[in-house]
Amino acid sequence: MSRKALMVGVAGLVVAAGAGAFFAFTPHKAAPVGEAGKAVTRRLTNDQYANVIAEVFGPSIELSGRLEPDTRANNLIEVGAGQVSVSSDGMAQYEMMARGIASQVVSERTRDEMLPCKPKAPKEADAACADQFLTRVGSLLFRRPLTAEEQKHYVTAAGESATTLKDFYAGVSLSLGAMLASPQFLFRHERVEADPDVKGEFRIDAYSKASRLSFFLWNSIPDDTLLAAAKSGELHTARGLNRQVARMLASPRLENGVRAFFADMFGFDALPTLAKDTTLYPSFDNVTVRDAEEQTLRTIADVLVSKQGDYRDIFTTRQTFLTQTLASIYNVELVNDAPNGGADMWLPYEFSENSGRGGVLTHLSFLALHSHPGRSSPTLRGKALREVMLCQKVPAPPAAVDFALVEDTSNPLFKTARQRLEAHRTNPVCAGCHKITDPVGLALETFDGDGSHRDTENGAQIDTNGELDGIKFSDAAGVGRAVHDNPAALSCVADRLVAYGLGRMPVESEAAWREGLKQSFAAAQYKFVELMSKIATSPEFYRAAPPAPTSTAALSAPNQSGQTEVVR
Amino acid sequence: MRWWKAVLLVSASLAAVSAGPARAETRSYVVTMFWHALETRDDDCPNGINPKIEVQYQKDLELLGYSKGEAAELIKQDGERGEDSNRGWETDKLGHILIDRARVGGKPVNAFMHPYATIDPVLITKTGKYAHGFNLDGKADAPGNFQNPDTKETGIDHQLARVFGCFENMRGTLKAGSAFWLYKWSSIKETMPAWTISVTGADLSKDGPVTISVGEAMEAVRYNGNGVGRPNMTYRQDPDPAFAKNVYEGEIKGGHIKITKPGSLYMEQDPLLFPVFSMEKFNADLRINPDGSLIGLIGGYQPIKEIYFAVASPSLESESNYAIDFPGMYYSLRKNADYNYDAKMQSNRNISAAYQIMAVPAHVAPATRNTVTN
Repeated sequence: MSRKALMVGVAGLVVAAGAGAFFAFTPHKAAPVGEAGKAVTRRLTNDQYANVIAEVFGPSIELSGRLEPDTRANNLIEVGAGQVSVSSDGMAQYEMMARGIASQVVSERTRDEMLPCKPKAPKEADAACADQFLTRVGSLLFRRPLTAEEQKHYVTAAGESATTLKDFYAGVSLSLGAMLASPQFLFRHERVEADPDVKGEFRIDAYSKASRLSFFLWNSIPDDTLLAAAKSGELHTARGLNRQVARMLASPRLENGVRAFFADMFGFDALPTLAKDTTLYPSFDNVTVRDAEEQTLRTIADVLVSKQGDYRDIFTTRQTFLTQTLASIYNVELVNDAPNGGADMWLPYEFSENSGRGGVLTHLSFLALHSHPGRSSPTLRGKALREVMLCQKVPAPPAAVDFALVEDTSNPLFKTARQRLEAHRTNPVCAGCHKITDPVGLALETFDGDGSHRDTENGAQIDTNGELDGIKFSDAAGVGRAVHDNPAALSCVADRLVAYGLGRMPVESEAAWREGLKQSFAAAQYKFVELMSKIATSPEFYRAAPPAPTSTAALSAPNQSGQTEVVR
Repeated sequence: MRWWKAVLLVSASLAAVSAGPARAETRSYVVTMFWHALETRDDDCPNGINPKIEVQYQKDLELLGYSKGEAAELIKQDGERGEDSNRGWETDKLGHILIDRARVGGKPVNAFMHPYATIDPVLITKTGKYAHGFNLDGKADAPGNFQNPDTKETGIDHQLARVFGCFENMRGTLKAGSAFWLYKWSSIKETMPAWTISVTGADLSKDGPVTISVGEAMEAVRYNGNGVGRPNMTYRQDPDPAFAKNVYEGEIKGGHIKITKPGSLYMEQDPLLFPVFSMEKFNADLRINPDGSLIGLIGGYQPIKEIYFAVASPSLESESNYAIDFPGMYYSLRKNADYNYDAKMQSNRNISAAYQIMAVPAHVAPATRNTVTN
C-alpha cells in the first residue's frame, strides 16, 4: 500500500468513525415547557484544544496553525460551541494540526517519554505496543474508553502503516493523527440515557458527565480518577458526585476553569484583535493587550479562588496584579527588581483610594475593549456593562442614525463626550437607548480609549456623575460599587454560569433549579466557588431531554463495560 | 492689647509653626533621545565640508610620505579587493598603514589610540556666528562665541559645533539630529542605563525654584513600537554615589525647567560606545511640552578625551563608516577646547558643548527596594 493510499485509508476511518457527529449538530432549540433541555454536542474551543493537548502530551508540543474560530452565541463561546459545525477548510486545518502534533509526539526527541513501551523492532509493526499507547491516549482524547471497534481500527491502521512504511512510529503517528482529527476528539458529544433513578427522565451518561464536569470546572479533560469514577458508576451516585466535585474544586486546576469562564463571559476572545490608533495611544500594543487580559483574570482568580471570596468584590477591589508595561499605562510606580533586561514580572499592586480605580470595570481590559480605536465610548462601555455584567439587552441602534456629532471630537462646542452625547440624545430615536447606556459609561470617562487616566477632554473638565438603575454615583469607583450592589449582577453571573456549563441557554423547566441556585449563592455570601459547586452537584445539571433517534443512532458509544451500544 | 487679640496672635503663630513648609513634589523623566545640538547653516563651511574618506586617506598617506601616485595606487588596490570573500585582515595592506599611521619613537603605532602622534591633517571646521548652547563663561562677546539663532542671545559657548560642523554625517538640524548621532543613539539607547531627571519643588504647576537631579537607572529606556519613549515606566535609581552629586539649583519659568546654578555632571552611557559623559558648568534648559514630555538643551564643558573616544569608537571601520578622520578630529577638538587649561598639554582639556535631549515622564524609585513577591 502506498503512503498516499494509507493516508486515504486512515482518513476514511476518521470520517467513518465520526460521520454521525457532523450531521448531529443542530442549533439548540428551546425545549417545550416542562421538558428538560437537550444535551448539546460542543466543538472544543481553541483554548480547550490547546489545554487538552498540553494535558495529554505536555506543554512542549507546539501548536502551529490556526483552528476554526470560536463562535459566540447568547454572549458565550461555550454556548456558541454547541451551534457550530466544521467547514471543509476547518477540517483540513484540524487534520494539519493533528498530523503536526502526532509527528511531534513520536519524534525521536520525545517518543521515549511519550510512549509507554518500545517496539520490538522500530521498523516493524508491534500491535501490543501500539495498542498500549493508542488505547491509553485515545481514552484521554475521547474522554472515555475506546470502543472495541475503535481500538481495533486504530491499532490495525497503525500496524498496516508501520509495515508499509517500515516504521513503527510512523504507523503510530498516523493513527494518533487520525484520533486527533476525529470528531470524537474535536466534539464533546454528550450521550443520553434513561435515568434509572427517576422514571421517565433522562440524563447524560457517566462519561459525558465526567467530561461536562471537567470542562466546567477545569476547562479540560477528565483526569484518570474522574474517568474511573465514571466507569465504576460512582459518578451517578450523589455521594460519589459530591466527592468528585469536592476533589476537583480543591485542585489547582480549578483556577483554569474559573479563568476560562470569565474570559468567556467578559468577551476576552475579542482582545487579541483589539486595535487602537497608535498615534493617539502609542503605548497600547500587543503586550498591553495580552497583559490587560491577564491582569483581570489574575485579579478574579485571586478574589474568587485563592481567597474564596465574594463575587461582588471583583467590581470593587483595588487589589490587582500588574506588569511594568501595564503600570506605565496606569501611570503608577511598579518596581521590577529583576536584573536589567529581564522580562516584565507580575507583581501584586493596590491602587490608591483616590486613583479612581477599583474593580474590573476600571481595568484596561474592560475600558479599552469597550472603546473605539481612537476615543473612549461611554455608550459602548455602558452597553457592555449592562449586557455582560447584568445580562440586560441593549437594542442595536436604528439604521441611518447620524453619528457625526458624537464622532466629532474636535467640535469646540462639545468638548467632552457628555456634551456630545447630550446633543446626540436630542434625537428621540437615539435617546431611548442612550439613557440606558450613557449614564453608566459617562462615569468612566476619566479613562481614555486605552484605559489611561485623564481629568480633562479637549481642555474641559470631565464630569463623572452617573447613575445605574436608580443608584447615583460621582466617579468611576462608584460604578463598581453600583454593580456590586445590583441584584441583577448576581442573577446574571449565576445564569451565565449555568449556560456555560450546559452549553446552551437554560430552558423553562430549569427555572426553579436556577432560582434555587441563586438563593444558595446568596446564602453562601456570593462565594463564586460555592456557586460552581452547587451547579456541579445538582442532578438538574445532568438531566437531558430524550435523545433524538437520528443523533444517537449515528454516534456509537461505549457502555460502562466498553461495549458499543445505541443508548435509548 | 486686648486679651482676645493676644489669643488670636498666639494662635496664628502656633498655626504658622505647625503648618511648616509646604510639602515638596517631585516629577521625574527619562531621557529618550540624545544628539549633538548642531543646527547646520549654509554659510557654516565656506571652504566646503570635509571630503569623503577616500580623499582624506589620500591626504593622510601623502602626509606619511607616500607619493601622490603611490597613495592613489594603494587606495585603488584596496578598492579592487572589494567584497572578496577571501579578503583577510592579514592581506589588508592599506588597513595596516592607516591604522598604524601614528609614530612613537619613529615606529608605527595605532593612530586611534595615539592620535596626538599623527600628523595633523587639518580638517575643516565650522565658521559662522550661530549655534545653540549656553553662555558658560558669562561673557557676552568673547572671541569665538556664537549667537543663538532663535533668541539672538550672544556669548554662546559651543566650540564643539566648530569641530563637528563640517562633517557630512554630523550636519543636521536641532529638531531632527544628524545621521551620525541618530545612528549612535540608536546603537546604544536600548542597552545603556537610562538617564533620569527629577525635578523637585513646592508646586511644580507654578513658576518657582526647584532642585534638579540627574541620575542613572538600573534599566535601559523602554520604547513603544513607534520608537517613541514609553512614558510613565518605572526605573530604579542606580545608587552609585558617583551620580549622587548631579544635583543642581534650578527653576521652572515660563514653561521651561532650567538650571540656575551650574555644577559638575558625571554620567555613564553605553560602556562600549560612550563609557563616560561628564561636564563642568553643566547647564540645562528644557521646555515642558503639553503632553508632559521635555525637549531642550543640556550643555557644559566636556573633556575632549571623552568625546574623542566616544565618537571615534576607535577603529578603522568606524572611521570609514562615519567618514571622519579621527586623528584629525582629535586635533580639531584640541585646537578648539576652551576650558580647563593644561600647561603640560599646552591646551585646554575641555570643550564647550551642547546636546539636544528629549525626555518623557517616568517613575523613578530607589533601587534597593525589594518588591518582588511572586
